Amino acid sequence: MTREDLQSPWRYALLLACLCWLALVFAPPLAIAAGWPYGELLHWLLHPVCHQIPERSFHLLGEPLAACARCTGLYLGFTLGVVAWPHLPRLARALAERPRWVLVFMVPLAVDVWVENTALSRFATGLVAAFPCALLPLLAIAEQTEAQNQTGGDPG
Amino acid sequence: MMDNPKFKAALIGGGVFGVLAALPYINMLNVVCCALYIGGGVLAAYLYLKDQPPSEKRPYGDGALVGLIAGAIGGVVATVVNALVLASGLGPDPAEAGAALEQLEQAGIELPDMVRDMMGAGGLSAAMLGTQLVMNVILYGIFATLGGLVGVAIFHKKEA
Repeated sequence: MTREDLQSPWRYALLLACLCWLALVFAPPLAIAAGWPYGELLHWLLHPVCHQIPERSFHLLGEPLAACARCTGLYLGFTLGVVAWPHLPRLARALAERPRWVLVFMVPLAVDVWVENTALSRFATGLVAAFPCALLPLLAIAEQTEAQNQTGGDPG
Repeated sequence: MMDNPKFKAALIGGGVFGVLAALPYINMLNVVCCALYIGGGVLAAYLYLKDQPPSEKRPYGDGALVGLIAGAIGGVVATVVNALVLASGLGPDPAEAGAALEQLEQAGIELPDMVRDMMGAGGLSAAMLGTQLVMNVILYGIFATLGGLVGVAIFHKKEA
């Protein structure tokens, strides 16, 4: 696998989606602080995927983010992964050859769930768990791009 | 369509985890990093790969597609089962929900207003059901797609 394999234009679509998702996490406190009426609605949008307990969330301008510290770490780790993996081709190749290793990076998170934890530990273990997972959609995109190239650009 | 191995795997994966995600108390597993959302995609990828011959390349594209379909099915199933649970009165008792809220507040944990309203209401309206359906399909779709990719990473059999 080369750096070019992971730098398909579709990676930017994935990155854009990740940034939009992160914006959903960080926007509610900003919106509420600015007195924008839809701040609560933005906060509510992520309630199916996160408990959103304020005590377990980071705060911005005195308001909790729309995701807890662990989920914020997961989302940020995934986004960083989408940005970073194309620039780490040797590591990416090693992980692509042994993809089950993504599970190893989830172990700290699994342990952290069951032991006494802090906001920082929840955030950090989320970050570590999600970063390697971001390689998987990049590999899927690379696979599809290669298949398209082999069929002469015909998506079908 | 039922003969399509991808659809069959997605139907089972999405169906099983959609039901689990709609059942009171069991759905709390989603608090652990959306375990049920992602689990549907992982199960669908496992079921799909189980019947595939070993291959040189890992079919991440197929895994993502199977996960996406499983997520969409899971979202619909979860919404329907959740509606049935609430309509049949098997959902959390409003009094119980109120007591749980009070306990959380006594423990110093403050829930967002909208979550508190939803926990307290326990009712069902067409608008709420519609909103829930759209949100479930989108969110299940996103997370189950990731689950499908993780499933391929775990269960793919490489050609010897």
